Amino acid sequence: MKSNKDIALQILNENSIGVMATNNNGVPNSRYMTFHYVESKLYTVAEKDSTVAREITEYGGTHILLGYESEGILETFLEIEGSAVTTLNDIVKQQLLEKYPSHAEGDYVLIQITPTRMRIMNKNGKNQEEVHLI
Amino acid sequence: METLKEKILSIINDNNIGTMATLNGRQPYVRYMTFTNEDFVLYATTTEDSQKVMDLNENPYTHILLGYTKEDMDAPYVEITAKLSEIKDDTLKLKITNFFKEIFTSDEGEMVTIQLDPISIKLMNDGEPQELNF
Repeated sequence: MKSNKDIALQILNENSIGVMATNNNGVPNSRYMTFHYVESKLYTVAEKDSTVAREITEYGGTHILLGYESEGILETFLEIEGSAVTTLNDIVKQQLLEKYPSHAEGDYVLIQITPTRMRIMNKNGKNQEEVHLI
Repeated sequence: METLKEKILSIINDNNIGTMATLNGRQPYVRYMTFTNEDFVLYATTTEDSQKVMDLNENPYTHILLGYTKEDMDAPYVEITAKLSEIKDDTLKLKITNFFKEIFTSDEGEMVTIQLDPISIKLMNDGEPQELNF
């Protein structure tokens, strides 16, 4: 039986596509992004002049849903509350740009999200447990 | 040739599960929700004392992603900016509440049906994003 911690790490290490919610001048905003988990932080890329980059500069609080879909239905997923900043971690940025060569054409910034709280959710929404990875 | 309105309506009609982001103070939260709709107006159900109801009573704005699936990541989907409103028609309210009662049972408390009026809807993954304003 997999522990919640194992499940969480499996989800995080899948480099999956998730939903990231942000604050856009007092109105919520959200979009799908691809996340990468490196050394306890989540990373994603966005264009330098994108709405999401501006939003997190104004307010860094974010909330992310990340998880498995099976036949279009989400089975188990993670809810991650975190603090986002744009960063110049060139090593990680290079790794991500290599994975997505089309991104190399634009002016991209790396967004780093430090998780502050993580919960595992099951699709029926009933089994919500907090996960601590550190 | 489908108009923008037709394309958007078809995605909303064909997809029931999406994500809904709200703001709790300045902090964004996003969760999966089941929606039903009458044209472009969306309806969802939740427990009366849930976090999202409290969020919406403070800040009625929400951002919804509907129609995206990992099974077909190239398929068009919609981003909806909407505002909490009331179901004024009692017959409609009963119809929607009964619809959700068939799907959800809650031993956690009273379920309420919420109406979300669209402010703008963006069609994504179908060429350049196109926006429909209400």
